[in-house]
Amino acid sequence: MRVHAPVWAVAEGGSGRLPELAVSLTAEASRLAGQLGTEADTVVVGNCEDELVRALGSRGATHVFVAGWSAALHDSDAYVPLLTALIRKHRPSVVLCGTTILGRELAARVAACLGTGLASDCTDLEIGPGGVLRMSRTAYGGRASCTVVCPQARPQMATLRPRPFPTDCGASIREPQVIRLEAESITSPRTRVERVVQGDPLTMDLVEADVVVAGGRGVGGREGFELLLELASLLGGAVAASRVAVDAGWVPYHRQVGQSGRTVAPSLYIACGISGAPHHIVGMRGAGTVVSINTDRHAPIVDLADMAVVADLRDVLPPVLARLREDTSRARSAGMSALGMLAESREDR
Amino acid sequence: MRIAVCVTRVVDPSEAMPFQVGPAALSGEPLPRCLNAADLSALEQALRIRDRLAGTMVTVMSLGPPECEPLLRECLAAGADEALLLWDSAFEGGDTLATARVLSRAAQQLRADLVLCGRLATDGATGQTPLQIGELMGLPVVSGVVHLELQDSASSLLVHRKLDRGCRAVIRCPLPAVLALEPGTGPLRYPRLRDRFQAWQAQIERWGCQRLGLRPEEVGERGSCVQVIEVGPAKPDLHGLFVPDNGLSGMERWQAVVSGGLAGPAGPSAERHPPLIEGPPEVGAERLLSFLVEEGFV
Repeated sequence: MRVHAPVWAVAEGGSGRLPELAVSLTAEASRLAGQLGTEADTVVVGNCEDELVRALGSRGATHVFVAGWSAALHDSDAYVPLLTALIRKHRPSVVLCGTTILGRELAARVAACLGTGLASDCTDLEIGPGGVLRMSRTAYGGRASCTVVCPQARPQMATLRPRPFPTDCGASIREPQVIRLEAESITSPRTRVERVVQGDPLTMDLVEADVVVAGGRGVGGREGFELLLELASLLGGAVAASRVAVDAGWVPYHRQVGQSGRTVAPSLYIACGISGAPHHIVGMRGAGTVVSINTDRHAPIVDLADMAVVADLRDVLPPVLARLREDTSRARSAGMSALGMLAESREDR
Repeated sequence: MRIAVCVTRVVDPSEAMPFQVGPAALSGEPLPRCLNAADLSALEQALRIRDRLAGTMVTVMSLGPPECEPLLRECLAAGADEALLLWDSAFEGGDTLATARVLSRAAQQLRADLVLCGRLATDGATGQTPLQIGELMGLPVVSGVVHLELQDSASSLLVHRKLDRGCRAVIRCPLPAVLALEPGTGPLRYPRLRDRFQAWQAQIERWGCQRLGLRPEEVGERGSCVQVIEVGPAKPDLHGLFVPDNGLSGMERWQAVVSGGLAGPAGPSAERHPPLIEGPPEVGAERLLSFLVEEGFV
């Protein structure tokens, strides 16, 4: 007999690249479930391909609930009644969500519907005495950390900051039971997303950008920045610059990264013609992956980069742009047909 | 049209935190407080709607002890039509859901067509309250709003909200609704001296459990599910901690420290960085592309 009700992870699915969030939340859920002597289940919102189901199984998910209607991923409105009903039916003891836009909104709204407690932006979860979850989170703008508990109400809900989880928690690989929820159970949202506007690489807030293409003295002038601008817009990122490029008037000041500019931490930072003076590096050291394109193989930025191309960016970038442009136009035509299908399915409903 | 703006008092983010480590949470001395930055944006948006739409009434409300009154008067000076202090000794120590219960009940009693909140309080930083207000009132909620405009003779809204990667979603939302605004969507207007004087003398009504029709066990600490059991100094982020390599010479270690951990040992010691691509630019381009694809950026 199970002592505790299951531990749930709720995350977005998606196609293409394996949705890491769903996998890491499941790994965390099964870690907690192991300590509680119960099982871990995952609720996937949106597309869930077989590959993802297998990955979730290998992280210890016993059941995978799939609420697959990827159209309204921006809109938590559609999923709140569904998730609330699902939790009422299966009575998990813990529900974990990610700190994505959808994860945060779903968690807060579902907690309100269920009348239970929620801890946001947790950095660490532990099982305390009596099987009560101790949730650590930061507060006061990162200047304090606090530990909260939800002793009475169930489920105990938390949104969890992304962090590196063990890729394999040692659970035996098993085939999880997949339960596909009916599309009818997803209510049509009251709010309607009319369109999504892509960020403009030259005006997008640098802090918001996930990809930053930065240029320095080596870019050589405004014409050089045209190349960077196109690369940034193809990658869905922002253009930034070192102080030299800003002082030369090639780009406006609000694009400057470094000690006297902005501090950024994108997933990808492409430094073009930037040597990597300490004053620039302090502004981008938090970046995940760093690529450098520079003619000088001894430039300090090369030591910091995960990949360094020793060449002139004006020779390297044009063929890269040509290929990316080709891919984008192909993806766009495919995307158009997907949108068409989406419109049809909406009319069906 | 009636707009309710929820404002909250936060610990001033520009001041240092006095801490007492351990379960006793924060030390007894009062913390410096100010109005939450995102809430000021919400108030400014409400005032802009009122400027354009005749017959609009903007009510500012705040759940907090009587010490919040001066902050409510600041809102009155900036142009809010009335201010409400939601306070009862039973409200003390509530979590986000208990807070949302009080605020949603007050908004319902005001018959608000639009409830505007700041997306996030800078101290608690949960961002849950606006979403939970909407859920408790049974209204649609849009969070992360950076722009809003009234449409169809003020029966619906067109709002722009933040998404990841600098994208914005344009959303049509029927009224009544709850919106949570990002900070910085418009600084709050600067009040005139005359308005300040008037605000100092204004009556601020206080609504408690009885007026709101709430039972004391639904609100405050008794109505809360979440308990804070420990508050302490922030744990350091281990990723950002720089420790110079002990194997280096004194000179090199010094260089590493002053450069913030950049300057490695001199000479071609690029053992950590195998992917150094030299040769014709076409090869570099090819390798760059395959790297971007491998890492999942393309």
